[in-house]
Amino acid sequence: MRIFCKYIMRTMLEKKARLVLLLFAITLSTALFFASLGLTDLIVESVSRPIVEKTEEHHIRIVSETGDSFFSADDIVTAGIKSHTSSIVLPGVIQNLDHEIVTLHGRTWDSLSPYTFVDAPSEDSFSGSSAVISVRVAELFSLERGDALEVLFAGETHTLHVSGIVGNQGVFYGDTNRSFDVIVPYGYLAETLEVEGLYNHVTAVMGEDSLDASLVLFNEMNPDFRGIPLYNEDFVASMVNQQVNALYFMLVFIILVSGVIIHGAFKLIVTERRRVIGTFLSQGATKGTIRGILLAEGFVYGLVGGAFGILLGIGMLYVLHDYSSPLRAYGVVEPFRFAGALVVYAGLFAIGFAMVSALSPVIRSVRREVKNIILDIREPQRKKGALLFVLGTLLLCGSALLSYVSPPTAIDYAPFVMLSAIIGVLMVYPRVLDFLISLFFRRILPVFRLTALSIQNVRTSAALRGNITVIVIAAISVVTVVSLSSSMVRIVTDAFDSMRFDIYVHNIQTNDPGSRRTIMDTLREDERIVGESLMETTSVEGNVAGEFAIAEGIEPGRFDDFTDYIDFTHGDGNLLDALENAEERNTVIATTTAARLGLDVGSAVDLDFNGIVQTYTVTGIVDVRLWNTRDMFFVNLANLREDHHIDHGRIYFDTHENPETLVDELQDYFRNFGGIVQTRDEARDINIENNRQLSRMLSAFSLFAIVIGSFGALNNMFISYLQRKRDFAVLESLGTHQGQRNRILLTESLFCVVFALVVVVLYGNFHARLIGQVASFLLLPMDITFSLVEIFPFLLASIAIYTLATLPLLVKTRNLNVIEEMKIE
Amino acid sequence: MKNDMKKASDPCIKVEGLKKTFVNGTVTVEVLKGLDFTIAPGEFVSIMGPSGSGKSTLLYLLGALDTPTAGTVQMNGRNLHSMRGREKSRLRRTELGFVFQFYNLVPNLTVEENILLPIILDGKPLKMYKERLDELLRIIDMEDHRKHTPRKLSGGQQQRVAVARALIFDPGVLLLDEPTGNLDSKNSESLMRLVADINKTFGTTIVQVTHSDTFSTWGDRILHLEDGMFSD
Repeated sequence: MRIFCKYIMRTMLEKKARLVLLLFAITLSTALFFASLGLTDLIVESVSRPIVEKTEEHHIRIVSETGDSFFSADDIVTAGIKSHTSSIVLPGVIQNLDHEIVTLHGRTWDSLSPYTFVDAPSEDSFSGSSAVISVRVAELFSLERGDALEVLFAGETHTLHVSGIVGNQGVFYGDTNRSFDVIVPYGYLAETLEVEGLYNHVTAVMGEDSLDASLVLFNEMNPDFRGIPLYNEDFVASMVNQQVNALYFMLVFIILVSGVIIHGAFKLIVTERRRVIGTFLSQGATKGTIRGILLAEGFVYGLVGGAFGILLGIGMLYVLHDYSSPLRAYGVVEPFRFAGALVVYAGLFAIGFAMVSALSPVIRSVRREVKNIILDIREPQRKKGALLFVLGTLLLCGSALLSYVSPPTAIDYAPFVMLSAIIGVLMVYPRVLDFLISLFFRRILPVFRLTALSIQNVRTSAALRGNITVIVIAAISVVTVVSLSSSMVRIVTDAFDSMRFDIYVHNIQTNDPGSRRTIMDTLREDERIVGESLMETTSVEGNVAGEFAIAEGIEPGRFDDFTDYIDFTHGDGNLLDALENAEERNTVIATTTAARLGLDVGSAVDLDFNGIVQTYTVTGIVDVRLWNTRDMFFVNLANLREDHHIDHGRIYFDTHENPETLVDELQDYFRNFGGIVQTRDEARDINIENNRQLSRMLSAFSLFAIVIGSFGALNNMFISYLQRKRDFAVLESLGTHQGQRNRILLTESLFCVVFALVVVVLYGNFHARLIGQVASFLLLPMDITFSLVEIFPFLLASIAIYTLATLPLLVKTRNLNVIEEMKIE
Repeated sequence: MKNDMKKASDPCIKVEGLKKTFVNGTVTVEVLKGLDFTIAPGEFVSIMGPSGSGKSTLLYLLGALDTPTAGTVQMNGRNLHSMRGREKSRLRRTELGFVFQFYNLVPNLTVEENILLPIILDGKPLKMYKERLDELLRIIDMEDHRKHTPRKLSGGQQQRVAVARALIFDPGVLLLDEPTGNLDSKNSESLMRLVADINKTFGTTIVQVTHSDTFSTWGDRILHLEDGMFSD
C-alpha cells in the first residue's frame, strides 16, 4: 500500500504542468461551487445583520388591530414576548447640514440604558428638544454637545440640540453620511405631534423558542394588537436569489468545461502511461487494480484541488462579504461566517467531480488486450459516430420542438431542455465535421496541402475533436453572458422608452400627507411642468399570510397611459378599470405573485402594509415582465394613502423645458425632503448600470470558462500530438521540416477554434431562445436575442486565446527524435 | 517451490489449433494459422522466424496477454483463455514471468520496487519475500543498485531487473520476447547466461522469441515459425 501511495504521488508530481492544470480546473470549479453555495447566506447575513442591530435585537413589531398608526401600548399583554419598547418613529431631513435623511426616535430616558454614552450626561439633559446622536455622526459632521440640528419633520423645521453622544450601536448601527438616526425625548415628539401617551413603533423580543410560536401566543392573548415579524429574511433572500441562480447557471458551464478538461487530462495520463499500465497488467495486476490506482489519483487530485478550491472559495466569499457590507466605508464589516457544512459539500463535490470526470478514460484504460496496451496497438473500434449523430439530432430536435411548440412546458424544464440542446450539439457536430471534411479534403489537397492534412488530422483525432468540444462549451457560455447582458440593457431601455415622463422624483423622505400635498401643489403651480402629466406611484413592502408582499400603488386611470411596458388589456376592457373605485379594494397581481402565493382571480387576500391589514379581491393577473421586482400587488394609490396611511411615493411628470436644466433647479427644492430628481435618461442609465453588475459577475465566470478551456485545449493538443508522434516522425523522415510541422499544429488549432465558433454561431439563435426560457424558469422573464455583432469581439478574442495556447506545444515539440519514435516495435 | 505439481511427463504448455486473426476494416490478416505443440516442464524452447511470422503474437498468447481467435493454450492442464480476468491476472503474477524486449520497468519505482511489483500487486507482505529479493539481486548482480530508478541503469542492467521481476514469484514458466533485441553483444551474452542458469538451477520452463541464431541454440529446442505455421 505504501509503495502504491508512493507510486501515485510520484506519478502525480512527475508532470508539473499537468498537475497545475488539473488542480487549477478542480480548484476553480470547487471555489465557484463553494462561493455560489455560500453567497445567499452571506448576503442575507450582510443585509440582515445591520437590521438586527438596528432593531436592537427585537424580533416582533406590534401594531394596533384598529388600524390606528398611533396607539397606546398600556394594554399589551406580554405573552409570547419578553419585553417591549415603545417609541415614536418619524422620518425627517436635516436642513443645516447637507440635507441628510434622519430617522427620529422619540424615546424615554430609561430606554437608553443599553447605550454607552461617551460623556455620561444626566437624565436632566435629555429633555425638551435635545437629541442624542452617534459617535460616527458626531465625527462625520464635527458635531459636539450643544450644537443645533435643523430638522424638517411633520411639515415644519424644528431645531434640536445635541445633548448626548453614544457609541455606534443599536439604532445608530447603520448611520452614514447620507442618513442617520437621532433619539429625542418621547415627550418632545409626542407634544409636537399631539399624540401624548401614544406610540407608532412598538417592538418586542420574542419570548418563545421560535418567532412563529411567539407570534401565535402573542396574537392569541392580545386581541387588540397584532404581532408581525419585524423583518423578513425570506424577502432579503428572495432579492439575492436571482443573482445566486444566475451564478449557479454559469457554474454549470465552468463545471462542464472543467469536467471536459479533467477528462482530457486523464486521457493524457492514460495515453502516456499505457506502457506502465501494460507492464502492471503483464505482471499480474487486475483491471480493477489499474482502475483503482488511476481513480485513487483522481481522488488525490480532488482532495488537493478541493482543499485549494475551498480556500479560494473562502477568499472569494470574504471579498464578496467585504464588498456587500453596507457599512464598509465606515470600517464596519459584519463578522465573516460561513456554514461548516459548505466545506464538507465542497470537499465532496471536488473529490466526486474529479473522480467522475476521470472515470471514462480510467475505465477505457484497460479495455484493450494487454499486448495492445503495451505495444500501443489501437484496436479497430465500432464506429459510434452515426449513433451519436442520431441521438444528438433527436436531442436537438426534441429541445427545439418543446421550445417552439410548447413554450410553457419548455420553461418548466428549461435547464434540462438547454442542457439537452447543448449535449445534442456536442453529439451532432463530429459527424457534420466528418462529412464536411470528407467532402472537401480531396478538393483542397492539391492546392493547400498542409492545410488539407491538418484538417484531415482534426477529423481523425479524437483529442482534437475534444478541443472543439471544450471551445464550443466555453463559447456557449460567452454567448449566454453577452446575449443576457445586451438583452438586459435593451429591455431596460425599452421599458424606460415605454414610459411617458421627462422627470422622475423618488426617495422622498416624508410620510406626512401635508408635506406631500405641499410638494404636489408646488409642482402643479410650476409653469415649466405639464400639470396634467403629474402622476404619483409608490411601492411598499408588507406581508400577506406570513409571506412578503409588495404593493405597487398607482393611479388606475393614468397608469395604463403612462406605460406600454405592461399590457393590462383584457378582452375589450382593461384590468386596471377594476381598481378605479378605491372603496371596492381590488388588486391586480403579477403572474409571479399569483404563482408564488397560489392566488387566482376572485381570491380574497389580506394585505398587511404599514401594519394595517385590509382585505382585497384579486380582479386580474397580469404579466409584468421585468417591472420592478416582478412580484407585486397593483392597488389604487388611494387605498395605500387612506387605508394604510402610506404617503410617500414617486412622482413622474413632463416638462415644457429642457429636462436636464429643470432637474438641476428642482434638485435644491427636493433635497429638503431627501428626494432625488432624475431625467428619464439618467434613471435609465442608473438602472442599466445596476443590471450590468450582474452581467459583470457572469462575465467573470465566462472568462474563467475561456481560460480553463484554453488550458484544456492545450492539453488535448498534447494528447493528440503524443498519439501521432510516430506519424510526425514518419513525415519528418520523409522530409517535413519543423516549420511545416508547426504549420500543421497551428492550422489544426485554428481550424478547431474556427469550426467550434461556427457551430456556436449557428446554434446561437436557438440558444438565445433557450436562455430566455431558462430566465423565465428563474422568474426573470425576458426575450433574449443573439447578436452576431455583439458577440464578434469575443469570437476574435477566443481565436487569439486558443491560437496562443498552441505556442507551448510548438516549443515543447521542437526536438522530435525521429530515431527514437521509429524504432518502437 | 514450483507451482507445477504435475508429473514431469505431462506437458507444461499444450497448444492446440491456435489461431489469431487481426481485422482492420475490410482487411483480415491471419497471423497464426492453427498451431499445435507442447512444451515439457523445464524445457528451454526458442521460437524463431522472420518479421511478421507471428512469433511475438504466439508468445503474448502463451503469456495470457492476448486472446486467440480459435484454439486453446493450456498451462499445466488449464485452458488460459477460458479463465476469467482475475484468474488470468493471478496466473500472470504467480505462474508466469514475462520479459519484454524494451524491459518495461516502471520508471518511477526503484529497482527493488520493480522486482517486487508482482508481490505488491498480489497484496502479500513484502517481508516474506525479502530473502527471495536479495537472492535475485545477487543472481542478477544488482545488489548495489537496489535503490536506483531504471533511468540510472544501462539497457543490460534494466533487462536483468526485468528478468528478476519475472522470477520473484518463482514461476514455472518464463517467457522472453526478444530479450537481447535491444542489448549489445556483451550484455546479450550475459543475459542469456543468466537465463540458462535459471533454467538449470530452478528448472524453470523457458520460451524465448529471438532473431538471434546464436542465442536460439542456447535452448533445448528451436521452433521455426513462418507465415503463422511451424516449418521443419
